[in-house]
Amino acid sequence: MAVLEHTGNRSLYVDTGEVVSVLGAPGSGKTRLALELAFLVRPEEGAVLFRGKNPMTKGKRLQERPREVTLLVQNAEDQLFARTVFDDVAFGPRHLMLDEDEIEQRVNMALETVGLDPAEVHDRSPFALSGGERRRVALAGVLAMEPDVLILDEPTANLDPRTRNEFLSLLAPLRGRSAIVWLTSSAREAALADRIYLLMDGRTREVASGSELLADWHVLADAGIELPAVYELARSLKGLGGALPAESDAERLKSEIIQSYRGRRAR
Amino acid sequence: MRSASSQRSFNRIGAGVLGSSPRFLSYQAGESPLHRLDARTKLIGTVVIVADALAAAVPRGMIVMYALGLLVGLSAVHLLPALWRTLRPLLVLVVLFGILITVITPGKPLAHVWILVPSRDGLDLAIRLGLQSLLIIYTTSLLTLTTPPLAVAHGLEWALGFLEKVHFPIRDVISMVAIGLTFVPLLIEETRKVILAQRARGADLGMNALLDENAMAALLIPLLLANLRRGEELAESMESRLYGSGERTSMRERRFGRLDALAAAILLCFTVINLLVSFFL
Repeated sequence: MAVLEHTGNRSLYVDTGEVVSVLGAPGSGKTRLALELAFLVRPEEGAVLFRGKNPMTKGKRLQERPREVTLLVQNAEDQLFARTVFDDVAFGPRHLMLDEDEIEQRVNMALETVGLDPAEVHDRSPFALSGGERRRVALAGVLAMEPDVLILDEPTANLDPRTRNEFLSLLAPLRGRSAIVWLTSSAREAALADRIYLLMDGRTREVASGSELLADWHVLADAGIELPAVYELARSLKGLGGALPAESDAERLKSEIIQSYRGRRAR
Repeated sequence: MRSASSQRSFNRIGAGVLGSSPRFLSYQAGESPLHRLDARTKLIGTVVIVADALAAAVPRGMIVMYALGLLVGLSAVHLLPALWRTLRPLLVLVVLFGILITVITPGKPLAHVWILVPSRDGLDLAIRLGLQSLLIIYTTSLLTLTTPPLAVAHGLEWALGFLEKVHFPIRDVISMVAIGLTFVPLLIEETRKVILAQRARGADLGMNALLDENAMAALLIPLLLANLRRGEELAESMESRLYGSGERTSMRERRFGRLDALAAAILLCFTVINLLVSFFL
């Protein structure tokens, strides 16, 4: 049975141990969907089910949301506030009424998972860290809750390319710990998930995963989704009247482009 | 099916996702005579009406001033429902304070209710203060409802410009206040966003958060940081467009027109009648 499920036009589900990505262009409603999935706002259509039940039935306050579902909001590093990194990461667990030993253990684990040395950053101010490190601390704050479902709302937005790649490598250790819903506007990132939903015009549609995803690159491009550079180039060349085949494999597409360029030069 | 514009705002975290921001006494565009008046006329008019209200005797002067209030209100009839919604809670407050004043002011007793002794003097005072405050709130609300904040700022700048001569930076102060006011809705959105973000990582942030120092820090520090950042960006972008490098000119030329003259004449008439009936009759 799915851990978390959204019914209605934007239906999707995620199983334990699974990474699911929701791919949508900017402005397609990803953030709203993320808030709904985390039970932070009421769904505007459909319902959100946690372990098959709707915990937010009528009359329930949003404050009583299940704590097993956490969300890393967009630009989460803006929400850091505590005097030390430790206090900030411990903010969530303290609300779970755990004892201090357990909290410390969780904080250390979480910091290690995001690639920070607990001994080194413990007592530092979160504001003394770099942007990428601050986002890691924010992620650690969510991980320390040890959630059943982790929702990530564009976790790599506004990061420089190198930090972005570092951040993507954090996905591997997260796998299997919680079910993950990853909302992104990048086809390259979405392809890292086990299953992919395309969010468009207020509807979701499950699309082929992994490299097959890019076979639909025309559709993705039309939906305004960020594609790897080769596909963008192919699209632009097509616009210029270049007769490029509907190749989907990046390597073949690349050689097609080079060949047609050579062909033109020869003429 | 949703319209395109609501779809857009729905998708932006700033506006639609978290609900629309309140429009408490904020400017409502329109074409009424009150809208077309020069902001300076309305500003001075408001000050004069406030002074009139303070000077008016009960009941004669007040009747004159409320007649003027009615006249002003009728020139922007379509705003009256919005005005009523904002005044209604204040009305309750005025009545409650009136009762309090009646009871605590010493004087000739009117009656004995339990241990409370409402007095004749207290009742007079309560009625006068109540009528004065209602008229003042009503007039200033009409000013802010019919005048864009920027125009109010320009009017104030004009009226208080003489302070620049004594090296008080009144222009900057007014710009700051005007900008601050336009950013209030954004601040409200930002607050909602921070609350959601902190709740997303386990905080409760309900009413009991007001008593919890840590929860308040979780809310206030990100807010403060975001606003400092925004202020700095705004200051830089204003400076890069030469703010403060000389006299500011206005894009819209404001003129004291026929309508303003008419309004001034009406106001003058009512003021004279008010003073006459209040002090000499």
